[in-house]
Amino acid sequence: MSITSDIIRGHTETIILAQLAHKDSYGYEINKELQKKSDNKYEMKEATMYSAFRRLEQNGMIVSYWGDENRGARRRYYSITKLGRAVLHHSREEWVEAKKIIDSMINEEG
Amino acid sequence: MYEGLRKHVDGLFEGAPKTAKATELKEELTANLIEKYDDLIAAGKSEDEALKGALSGIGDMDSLVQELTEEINISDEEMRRERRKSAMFISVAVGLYILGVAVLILFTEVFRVNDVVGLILMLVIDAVATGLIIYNALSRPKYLSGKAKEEEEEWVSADRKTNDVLRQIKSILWLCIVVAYFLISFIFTAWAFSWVIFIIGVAIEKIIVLMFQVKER
Repeated sequence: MSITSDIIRGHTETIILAQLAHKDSYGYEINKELQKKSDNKYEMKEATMYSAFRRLEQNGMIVSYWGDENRGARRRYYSITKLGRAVLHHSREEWVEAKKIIDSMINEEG
Repeated sequence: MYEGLRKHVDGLFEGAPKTAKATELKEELTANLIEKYDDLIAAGKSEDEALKGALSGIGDMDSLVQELTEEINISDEEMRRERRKSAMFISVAVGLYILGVAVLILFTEVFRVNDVVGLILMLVIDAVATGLIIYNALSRPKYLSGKAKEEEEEWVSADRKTNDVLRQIKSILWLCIVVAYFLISFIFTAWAFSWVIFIIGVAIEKIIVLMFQVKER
């Protein structure tokens, strides 16, 4: 489980952008979604997620707004921007490319 | 019910600066933890297990808190700029006050025009100067006035009581100075020079503070 987390951590921002590309969401919901998609193999740490949110927001890739829940504390929702979508598109292409190159370098039959 | 969660989150943010961003992050984290906790309870976990489960996913918040602290330091630069702007406003305002008096003298003594004209002109100039000072005070960011106060007040006694006394003395002093200013000005019609009283006032204030300082040691 945690062996892969180092590799995944480098893609935290892309992963979050990809979730927000479907719809606006907030921390816990995104995490639930990730757990479901990874078949419970990956859970993003809260701290990792918030640092990524901050960086993404500072760079204009996402914007945030507060929900109006009254139970306990308000949720902070995030929404992807046009720039965010462009970056996501680019990152996906980069990942496909990187995967190909790494595969070709570490596969046994090489 | 959420007491345990809140207490833990409070602990995480103990070293964080008291900024809006830190408060927001805290609220965001709390909201997410509460929901996770509720989900775990709904899944049949005990309160203890749910609390542990919710807290286990937080990870290392230290670096985030560190970032929040660093952010404040970055805004130091901005603060310095604001302070310079504020100093300029005050300087211009003080300059205008003096100019007002000069205009009054010029009109009444040199041009020998009707006194009222010079007086009205002076008051108009003073109004502009006062407007500048008020605008400066109101537009000053909160954090700036807070921090600046700490620095301007070169000396603060360790004892709160002494500080209170000092503050009272200062306000009485300035009240007396203003009264003296008007009295002397009207009685001797010394408007041209009586503003010196304010400079003397500053000196007296410094001396009083100094006396307190010496006594404390």
